[in-house]
Amino acid sequence: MNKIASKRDRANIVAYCFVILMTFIALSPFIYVVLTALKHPEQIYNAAEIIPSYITFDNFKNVLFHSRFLRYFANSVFITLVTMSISLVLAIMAAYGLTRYRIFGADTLKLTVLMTRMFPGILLCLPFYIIMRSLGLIDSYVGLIAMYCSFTLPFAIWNLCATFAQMPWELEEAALIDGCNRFTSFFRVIIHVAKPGIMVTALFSFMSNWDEYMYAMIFINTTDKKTLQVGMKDFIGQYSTDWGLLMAAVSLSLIPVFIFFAVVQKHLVTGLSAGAIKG
Amino acid sequence: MMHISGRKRKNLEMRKNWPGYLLIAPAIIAVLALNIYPLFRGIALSFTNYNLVRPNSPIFNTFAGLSNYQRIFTDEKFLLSIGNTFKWTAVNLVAQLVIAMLLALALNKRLRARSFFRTMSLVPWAVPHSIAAMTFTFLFNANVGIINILAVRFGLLSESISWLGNTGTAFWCVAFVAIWKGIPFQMIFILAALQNISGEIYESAEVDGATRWQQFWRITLPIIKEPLAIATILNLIGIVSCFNTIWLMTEGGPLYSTEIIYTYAYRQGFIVHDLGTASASSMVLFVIMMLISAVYLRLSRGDKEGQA
Repeated sequence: MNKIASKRDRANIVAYCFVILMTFIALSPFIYVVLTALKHPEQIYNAAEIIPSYITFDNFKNVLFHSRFLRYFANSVFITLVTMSISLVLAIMAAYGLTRYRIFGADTLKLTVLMTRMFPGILLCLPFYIIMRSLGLIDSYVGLIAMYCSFTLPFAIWNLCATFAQMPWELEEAALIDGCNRFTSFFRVIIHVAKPGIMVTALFSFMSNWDEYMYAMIFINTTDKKTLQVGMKDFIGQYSTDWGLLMAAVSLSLIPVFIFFAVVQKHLVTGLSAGAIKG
Repeated sequence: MMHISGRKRKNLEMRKNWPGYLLIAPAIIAVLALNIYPLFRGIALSFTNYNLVRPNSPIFNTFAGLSNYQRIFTDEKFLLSIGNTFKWTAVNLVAQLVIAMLLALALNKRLRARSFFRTMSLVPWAVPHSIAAMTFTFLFNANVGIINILAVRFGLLSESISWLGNTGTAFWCVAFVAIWKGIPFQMIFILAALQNISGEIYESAEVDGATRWQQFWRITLPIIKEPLAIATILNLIGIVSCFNTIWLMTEGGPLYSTEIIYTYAYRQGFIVHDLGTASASSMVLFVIMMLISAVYLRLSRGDKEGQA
């Protein structure tokens, strides 16, 4: 048994080398970011100190306690979670309605939703600027969250429609026979079976909101309302040469992304392929 | 008679399916208000004089005919940005496709610690664009960037280069970051498709004496053709609108060498404050993307027919 495995390993040596190389390329920037965040300012410029011989946590302390980092962080968490919840609830309702009832023009609706995914962000951004200004929603989270829904909602509807469409009717029939009504069968059965699809939809929604930069830059002016991604740019202006500080902020900002990613990634291949490929 | 009974049946269906309509209503209203309405406002805006620098001008917010389009197509910077968009797209797409394909093929083999490698190779995708851009801006920095430090130390360069400040290097550095970040998305789609192929096909091919190279071109590629095409088109849309990476690293510079249509439209809208020409240029981008998505729709429909 072991012999076969090691023979296979030898045959796959090129694959191993390539995969290790790609993993190194993927990770090394962040290893260096963390190393830089642990350095004193004079070490950053010193070629002999690429791997620091002594470390400091001053940068992290300064980012956490002497900057607006936590404020920006909280803003981003708030906006991301609210947008994600709104899109998920609306999309689950819509996907259930579109796949479990006979809706007049359902295919046209789905196609229209799919088409909106092709709109470049800048195209909607310009009219949004005029609309939000006339509604008095510039510099407000209500406006920003509404605009974020404009790109998370269509994806969520599309992906969840595909997920729900793949689930067999028999599941619900069985639940109905067992004494559930449509409402309870949804919460007791459907939502559990659809979990991979819902998780991946949540992941995409989370990432695209957490990632968003352009809308937040254009529509939020008040310093205390800025999201993390925009606030990070302030770091560069505010402390124009303090790379250690910026890299500490970068390291900290990645923590929630990696936590969320780690929780959801095992569903990624099943949940995503179901939705996006088989559409 | 037919007509009436048809309508009756429709009424009956409506009565039976009303909860469905109720369920989809909020989402449909939201999409109409947040996507469809702004789209038409945007189209209208591209035919309107809307220069925010001169809000009191008598022509402000009046019909402009084709003059916005005329202005951008006579603007050298816009023409340059169209060229850059095609160059940017071609470089990104080819590099991402080839590397993602190789990586997916490697990760589809029965390697030790495969799930570890798979998760790790997805890291660039999980990292926000702006964070990736700031990280690489730091790595490429002329004074503190590790790329310069290492290159000088090992004698590859005689002195530090401002990678992002030179017209010759900036484009390739920014493209490198976009490729680095784009590979995992493409890879995961290819991997998902590869996992659906059973190993028996390869075993029988091997019995028939097919080489690895032949197996790839004759078996693997035809099977994953459709999902591959769809993933590529989705990826293409991301590449064309890759604003964050470019803007945070170079703001379209130096000398507009990294300006694509997307950044041009942003510049016209929110730096020059001329929303009319900005809308016109984003419409040009929209038309390009609609052509792409028309291909996408045809492919995904073909896929459905194949399944049925």
